[in-house]
Amino acid sequence: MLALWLAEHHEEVAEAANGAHEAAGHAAEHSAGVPELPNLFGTIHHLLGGLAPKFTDSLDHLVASCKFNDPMGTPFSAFENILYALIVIGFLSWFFISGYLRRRKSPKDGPLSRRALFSEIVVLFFDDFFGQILGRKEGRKHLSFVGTLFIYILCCNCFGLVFLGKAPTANLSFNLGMAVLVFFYVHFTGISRSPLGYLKHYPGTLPTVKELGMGPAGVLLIGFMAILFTIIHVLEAVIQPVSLSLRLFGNVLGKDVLLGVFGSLMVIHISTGIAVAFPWHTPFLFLGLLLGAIQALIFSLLSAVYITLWLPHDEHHAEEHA
Amino acid sequence: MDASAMLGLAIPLGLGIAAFGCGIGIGNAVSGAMNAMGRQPEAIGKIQTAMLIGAAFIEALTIYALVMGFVLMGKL
Repeated sequence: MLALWLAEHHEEVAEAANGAHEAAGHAAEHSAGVPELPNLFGTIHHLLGGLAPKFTDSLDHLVASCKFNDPMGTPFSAFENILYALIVIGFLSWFFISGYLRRRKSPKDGPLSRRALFSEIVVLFFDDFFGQILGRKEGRKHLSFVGTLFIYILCCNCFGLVFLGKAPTANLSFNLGMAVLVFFYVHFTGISRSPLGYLKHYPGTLPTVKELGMGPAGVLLIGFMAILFTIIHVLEAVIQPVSLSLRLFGNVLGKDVLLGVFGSLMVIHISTGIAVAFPWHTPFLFLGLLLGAIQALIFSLLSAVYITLWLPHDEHHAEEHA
Repeated sequence: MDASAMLGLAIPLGLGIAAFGCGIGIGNAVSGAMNAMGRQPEAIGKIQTAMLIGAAFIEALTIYALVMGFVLMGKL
């Protein structure tokens, strides 16, 4: 369907996307400086470019006209990220849903299947881990969101280490999407808990006029402080998702570029078009495994901490005294 | 010296300076956490989480420089 549509509308698309294509061309030129390991869809796109250049050109035009460019790569590489993310989503959904169904089907006192047991271990680990930060009761409530983030980011990061795979988290838009999700989740939690308390958090705890001991002039100072604190808190709320996404993006992209640089260190061209590369990057794959796990941990941990900031604080005191 | 040569000098230099500060910061944080763990081995789990969060905040500063490097690399 798409191919037919493209063939029919090729001229129009090409004309409409002319300006955008120029920008995309520049991006592709620049991205030559950032080496990366080959991935499946990129390779297919490249091979198709040799066989049917008209098709890939129109595809590129279409992508460029969507203003959907990955500033770090070719216009097509923004689509690769989504395809890989969909693969990860499909795999995780299949794994855990089928594990759940299998568990439900199995007899009550019979032995559990391996996958059901594994899922149980994962969930118990998260329950324990996030229970430490959020408190046992709150942890159960937010476990599904934060735990999903952890598993999803971990799998996305590790997908960059698989042969012909690519880490979708090495794209800023992708991470920003997740971080914006965290932003809305956190603030929704804060508002649904107590709308008045949510608004009160912005000016913070201000001193009363009596405490200040400055007479009527204190009212002015307190008003000034309230405005200042509100600005600071709003800024903080905006910076939280940005730093969350930038941290993940920078780390994963740094890892991918490292792998790409070491992967392309020794490439032997046997004949035109056929090359053999020596896998220098192998030791760094293990580093990537460690880094991916730590970054997934930090992303979900910080989301949990941001949620804690909106929870009432007396609960923790009660836990400490108990 | 043209702009791209200046960028080529500035990106690694800036990243190095950022990494220098963050290295000192993370070193301080980890040494404090290690001290605490040595004094109170039963609280290792809690200290480790708190240390990781702090280290993530510190490390983010280097990452900003790294991201700027990647963005500016296109202008080289």
